[in-house]
Amino acid sequence: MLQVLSKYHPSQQKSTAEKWKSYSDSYIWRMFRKGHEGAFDHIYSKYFPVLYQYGYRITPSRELVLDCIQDLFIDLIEKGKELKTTDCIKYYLYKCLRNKILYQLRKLKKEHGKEHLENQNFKVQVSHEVKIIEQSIDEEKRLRLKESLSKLPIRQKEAIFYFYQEGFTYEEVASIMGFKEIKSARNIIYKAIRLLQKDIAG
Amino acid sequence: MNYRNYKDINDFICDENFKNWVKFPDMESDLFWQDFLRNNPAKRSLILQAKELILLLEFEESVKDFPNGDEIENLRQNILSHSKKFDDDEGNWNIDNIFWNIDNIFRINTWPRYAVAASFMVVILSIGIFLSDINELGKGGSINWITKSTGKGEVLNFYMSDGSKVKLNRESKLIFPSKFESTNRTVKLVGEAFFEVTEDELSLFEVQTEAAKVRVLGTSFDVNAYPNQETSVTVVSGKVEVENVWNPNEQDIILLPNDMVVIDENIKRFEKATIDVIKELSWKEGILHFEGASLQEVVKELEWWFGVDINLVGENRGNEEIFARYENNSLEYILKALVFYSDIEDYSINEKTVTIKL
Repeated sequence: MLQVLSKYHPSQQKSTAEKWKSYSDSYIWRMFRKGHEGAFDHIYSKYFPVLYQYGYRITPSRELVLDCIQDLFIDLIEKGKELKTTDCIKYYLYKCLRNKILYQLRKLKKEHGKEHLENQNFKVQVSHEVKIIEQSIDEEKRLRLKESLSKLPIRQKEAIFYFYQEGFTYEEVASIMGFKEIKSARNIIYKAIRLLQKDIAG
Repeated sequence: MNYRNYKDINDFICDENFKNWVKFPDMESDLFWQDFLRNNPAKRSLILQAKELILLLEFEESVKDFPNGDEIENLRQNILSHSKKFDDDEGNWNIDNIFWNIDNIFRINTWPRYAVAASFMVVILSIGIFLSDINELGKGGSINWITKSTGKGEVLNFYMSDGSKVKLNRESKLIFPSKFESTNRTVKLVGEAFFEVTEDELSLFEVQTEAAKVRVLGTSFDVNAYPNQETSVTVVSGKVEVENVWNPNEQDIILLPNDMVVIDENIKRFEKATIDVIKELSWKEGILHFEGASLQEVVKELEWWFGVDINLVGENRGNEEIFARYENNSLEYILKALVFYSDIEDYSINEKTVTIKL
């Protein structure tokens, strides 16, 4: 505890925003759980953009996504110390937001018979910016990869999104996607990659 | 993780650590994988192909109508207004204030109360006599005696008939006449009080405690005479004369501002020191401070200061040192602050009982 205190010594104080940037996720989350408003401010401003983008992928409905983000934070603040600890805030927020949005969508479906889930956008494509170093993937292979990617089932695309794009661990992927075992997350990604690799290899 | 055994390109592509290195490299992972590449040239081609595939995976930007700054701020305000949690009764309670206060108290060099109690001898005799003596005053005689007393957690301010002001600290008792005589003003004290005595050249003001008699003309000073602790007299202004009750033959001592005398029961002799009265009498200003106090000590002090019972629940590793300074803060405020920078997880207050969870 004393170590923490000396870091906060007035002589070493940077601006408030910078201060928060230097803390670990688990520390910031711990502060947030305990009701520290500065922690909330930091989390909100840091993660709002990605939360909106992520929510929009699940359902391209602006109002719904914004409502869910608002509800999400209200709930988290309300729960306070009842929240689990975590060392990856982004994963935790994603998981909660995803659940919230899916819940709302199911509600809408019941009430209006609308099917929103098919609008999910986890469209994965081939990057144009990556410089080929090994020349192992030529233009022809690129095209094959592109086609292969478009054919992937949406759940696989979603898993790839979490694992490669967002950098989550298998455990976190399993948790967000609602798998009971971490193994399931490994399997789904392995399956997808094997398929892609096979198509490229030709 | 034996990467040498990886035969298939997919083994690398699906490996968590490998993926992290490719997409989110840091110094540690870079050192590892560069090293691995150097030592396993046979795997080099496989690794680089795996790396490329991962890098080629890209997700389409999905967003339209990204909210502008105002909308984001409005949403934030909505969240805050729905949440009662961040409401605090202290106004500007935030970590920056707390830590600034901590810096101040590092410079103070005072023994906290509990340390004082521990380092001095216990008074065994006479207290019974003194108390009964006090009670005697109440009976008989034409003088009307008033008794003012405080329990734990209580501080009492009042005036006496000559206009002298008294601030009585916790667990203390002062007995004084409802109307002072013209030639002398005598009061009896057990515990601690701060006096601001009005000047009256014709009438000597005397505070009697078990160990000391403190005579003043008109001045402000503190007398600390708790049972089972040393007795001390601290002068803020004016001049004070102190007589050692235990040893009347000892010459009376004169104290000036910033002087303090302590009567050690064991040796029954005066010990004089020059101190910083502000630190010594911080209780008067409602200042509570801890300098390297253990959790046990803090709890004990809080019990005394606020007059509550505190139960500690959970495992106390006992190696914690708490540095903090509180000025006229409520118990709730202090507990909240302690939750932040100590091992305390949670607390609950139920009337006069506090439960602290570790």
